[in-house]
Amino acid sequence: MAKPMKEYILSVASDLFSTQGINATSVDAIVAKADVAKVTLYKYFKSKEQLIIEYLREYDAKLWSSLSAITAQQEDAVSKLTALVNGMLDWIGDPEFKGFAFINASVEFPQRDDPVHQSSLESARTFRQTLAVLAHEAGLKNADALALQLALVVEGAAITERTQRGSGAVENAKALAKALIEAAR
Amino acid sequence: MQLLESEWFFRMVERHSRTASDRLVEVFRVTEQWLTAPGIREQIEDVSLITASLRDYLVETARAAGAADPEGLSVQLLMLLQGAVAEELRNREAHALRYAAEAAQVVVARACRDTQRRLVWRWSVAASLLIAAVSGLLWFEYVAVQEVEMVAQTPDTTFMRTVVPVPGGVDPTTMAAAFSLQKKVEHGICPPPHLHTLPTDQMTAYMNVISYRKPENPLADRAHLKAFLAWYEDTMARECYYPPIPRATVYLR
Repeated sequence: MAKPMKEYILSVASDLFSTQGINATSVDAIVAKADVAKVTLYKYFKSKEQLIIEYLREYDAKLWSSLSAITAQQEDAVSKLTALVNGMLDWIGDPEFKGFAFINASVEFPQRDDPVHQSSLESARTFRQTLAVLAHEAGLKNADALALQLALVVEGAAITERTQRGSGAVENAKALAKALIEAAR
Repeated sequence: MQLLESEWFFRMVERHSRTASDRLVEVFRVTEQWLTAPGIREQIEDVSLITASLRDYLVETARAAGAADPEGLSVQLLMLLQGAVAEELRNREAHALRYAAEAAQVVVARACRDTQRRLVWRWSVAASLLIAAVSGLLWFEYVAVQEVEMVAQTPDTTFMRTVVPVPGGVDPTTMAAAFSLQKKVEHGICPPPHLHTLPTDQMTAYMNVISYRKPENPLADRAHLKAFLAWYEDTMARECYYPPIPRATVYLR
């Protein structure tokens, strides 16, 4: 019964974190929503911080498993790169989207030495590195700069989509990414 | 982010840019500069800096830059700017705004490419027309006239004024030359051509012009008239005598 309970608490916490924000969600709120004893929560998660990190890790795993399923279908590196960015943008276009967990977390925990901040930076870095590796593989010009630019496009789309839903941010971001990749060929 | 809609911001953007496309990219550079100012980073709480006036400004500028889809381009640029500011705030060393400006340059250039092509095409057509016109003029001015340089042809405005355009294949310059010669002959300046010694065709051509007759074979007439004028220039022109103008001082050298 240990695993399902841990997963259950994590899913309730994730839900609250993504809708209310991490700092705004207290352990009491999680316990109340999950309808478990506080002791039970602390049995699986040593602290709220650990809960947050687990939440980010799970979010990451979900995101990457969906992205790698998309890129695996593509043959060459350019299509993979395009598909990766588009997949990320589709994730943003999802009506349930509440902003990228790792970006939100890094905003809520701005201290550089904070473990949560570190963990969220790690996710952002992984994404950018994957972009850079694909760009290098595709033999594109200024691959590292392009990777950063594409990451900026994704981030900007996330902000726009969150603040003004239905402004066509995702479609515009796709066009923008396509233009940048084509210009680098 | 009230600053991104202030007058100061737009002034800074316009100061260093010559064209509308430059301005679209300059927005990123000014934002970068602004973020390096002390105390600014701390003031920013929310990166969603969508301001109506910045959006309007971008749309307007994109339109002026000749973008095919000004609204779409401005949404893209605004998005890029937001992403870059967020990254810049999080991680100063990444120089996100600099790379965003580069990306903006690429996107703006692509969005306005068709217009630029159209402009280049338009300008090249205009330039070639101008070159054609100038070379045509030069040809008429120098090449055509240089062919026959003769006394009869030195323009005499008094005589030129009497020239009546006669329909026919003889070109006006040659016709004017013939009229001019005839007037000089009438005024006793130049000796009359010995018409009876001339080939009949040349005489006919000359007579046709000076008596305002429509030639039967304009093309042949033109050639004959030119031959006549050339002959006159060779044999008779040296006998032309220009009477001194009354009360004019003549310096002999």
